[in-house]
Amino acid sequence: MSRPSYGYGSWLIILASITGLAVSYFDYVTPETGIDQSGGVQLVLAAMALMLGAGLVVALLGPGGARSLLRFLILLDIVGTATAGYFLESPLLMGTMMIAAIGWFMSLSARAPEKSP
Amino acid sequence: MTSGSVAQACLFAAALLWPAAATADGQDWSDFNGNVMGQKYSTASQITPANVKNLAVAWSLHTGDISYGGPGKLPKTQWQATPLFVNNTVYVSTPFFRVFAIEPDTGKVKWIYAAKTMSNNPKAPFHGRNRGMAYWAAAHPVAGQPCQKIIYIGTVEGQLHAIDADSGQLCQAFGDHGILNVNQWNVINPKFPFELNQPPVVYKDMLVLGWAGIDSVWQASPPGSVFGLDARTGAKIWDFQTIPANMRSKIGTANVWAAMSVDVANGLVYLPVSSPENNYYGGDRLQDMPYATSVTALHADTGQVAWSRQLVHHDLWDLDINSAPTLVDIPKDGKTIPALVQATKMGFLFVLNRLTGEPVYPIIEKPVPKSDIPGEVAAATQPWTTSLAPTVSDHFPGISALADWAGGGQCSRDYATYRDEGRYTPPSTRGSVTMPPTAGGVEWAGGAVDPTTQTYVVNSSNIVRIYQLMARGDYNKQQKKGAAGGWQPDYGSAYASHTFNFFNAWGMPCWNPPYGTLSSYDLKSGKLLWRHPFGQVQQWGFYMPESWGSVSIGGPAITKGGLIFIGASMDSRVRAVDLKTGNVLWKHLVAAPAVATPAVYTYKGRQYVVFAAGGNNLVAPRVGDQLVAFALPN
Repeated sequence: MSRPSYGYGSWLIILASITGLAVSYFDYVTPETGIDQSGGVQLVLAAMALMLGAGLVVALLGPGGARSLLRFLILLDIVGTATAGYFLESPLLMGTMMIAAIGWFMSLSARAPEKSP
Repeated sequence: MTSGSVAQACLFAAALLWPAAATADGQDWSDFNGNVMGQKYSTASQITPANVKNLAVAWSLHTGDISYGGPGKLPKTQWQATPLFVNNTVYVSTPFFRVFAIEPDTGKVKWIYAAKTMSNNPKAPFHGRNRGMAYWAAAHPVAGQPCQKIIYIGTVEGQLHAIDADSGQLCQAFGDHGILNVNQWNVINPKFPFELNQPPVVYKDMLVLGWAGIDSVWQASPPGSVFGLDARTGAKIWDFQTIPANMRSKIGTANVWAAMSVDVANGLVYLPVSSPENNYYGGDRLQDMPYATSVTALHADTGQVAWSRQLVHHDLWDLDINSAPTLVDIPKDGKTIPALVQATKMGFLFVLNRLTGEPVYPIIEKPVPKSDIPGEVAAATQPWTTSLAPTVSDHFPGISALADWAGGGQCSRDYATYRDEGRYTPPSTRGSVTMPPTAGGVEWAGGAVDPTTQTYVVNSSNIVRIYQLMARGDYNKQQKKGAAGGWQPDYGSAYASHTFNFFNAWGMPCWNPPYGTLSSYDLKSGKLLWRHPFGQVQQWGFYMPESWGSVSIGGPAITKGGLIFIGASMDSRVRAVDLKTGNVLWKHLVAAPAVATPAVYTYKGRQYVVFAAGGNNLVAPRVGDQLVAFALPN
């Protein structure tokens, strides 16, 4: 039985970042959240956009030093955003980061995608 | 019994009956402070600690009267109006001086009255600020006649509007076709119109009215005055001046800008009197001014002084007495003492016999630091009371390690340059650490009391500001260079002033938390029952730990059900707190910090708690226009 490729974990990170973008956009524009229009949510929006970009690069690029660096930055992004979610009292955001963390760990244990002959 | 004594007996009986008539079934909220005794207490008991977790929004409305500020726009609104529940109607006034009459169970608007304002006086500053209305009802209403029940709202231009509580129409017999120009009595140094932010207090068929103004621009601004008015016609019955006659032309304010309270049975009205100008330099007012920064009792029928107690001598800190004292009878040592509790910006809680002004708990005169400003003579001593543990510490609470680290040591470096000798350190040219400063301590909502158990509850802020003075000549030079930004000119005084929060460059407080607390006292013993950090600081959307508490504006309301309802904190949440333990049992997010005391009422057998969520940029930048009522599900 073969291990899954990098792709599964990376795509989970991409999914989580898209969800995180949606959640934080909702938080930003909805007064009932209590954190609308706030700098903290702006920060999260930026972090989610960066995570999305980094996730896409990791999913689409082959192995190499850049991929390792991006994976490290994604980890920082996940931890930072989860912390922000805690202080913003946004359980949805924290849940989303939990999914991203699962994706990140999956990508750790996965094998590199095979190159085309 | 002579005819005179019969008349006296009748008057006494009427006085006893008056509060009962005013509060009907005891479920009304007829005054800014719940009742004219400033108690903020409701006999409603449907909502209890056991079921408060089920509390839900019963109705909510947005008035539309909101300004977010910004370049070219009106300043941010400050909505601090506690709604009234009287005449089977919820009434609320807005920062744009509109009155909404609302069905108490549905939130449906019955009528709206819009006071014409801000258009006929170009000198009128617009502060977008309103603290509510007053309500008067005729003891013997004439059937079929309008204006037997009247709502009063003041405006920023010194106009007092009298509105029929049933129809929303102006009462033609009052003032000039329903509007009284209070500004007609603004005759000494009328640098600004009287701002009627705070509603008058009602005593029998009279209104007792103070006014607000503008601080720290002119030393010779209007001197403080309070008016006794006929509730039906607005005719002036008496006036009371707070500043000695020989000083009124050169020293202003010491006004009564906060709510007042009334002991109807004893015919006394209680005035929280503010500080005189210049708020921070007193070298031009060394003469004794006994009513400045005092609580003063007047005979409500005549305006004559019954007693007065100055709570800050020669005030150099803008420590206005700023809230209506809370009147309560205290059983103590086998006697019942007719008392009042005066909460203060200083965090001192003065408990006085409300008939004599004598302390129920000891007040001592304690030596305080001297001023180093030429021409200034700070008072040698200040009144001090510790029998009820002050809500604010006497000393700076220490540099916050987190703020100091985040600011690269800025907090420590700045602190080393300031003067700090504890409470009542006078302002100085290098800057003095001032805690509590003008922002309090306890702000204008004051505390609440359960009169059945004599439990007193009050929220308070721990704020550190720096008070700095600059000699007139230096100020003028700086102003010419355009470098006097943030300074208050205090024209006519030898010094200009600058007061600012002790923050680092990131806007983080340089002092240790908590930043706000909620405390409960047993007035029978003076014992502190509990004190907890209250609310949460919210910065850039992030909620800081609950142990930090929050600065707060807006007071608590106590119910017979054993709960405290309070908004007030930075985090735009309203809370229900267990009166016995101080534990938060329920909280709910609203549109903005609810900086007004909530109103509690019962209608058709259902208890409601209603908050005006309007915000105040002293607490947080968020503003709102939401009026929201909570109740248990049907």
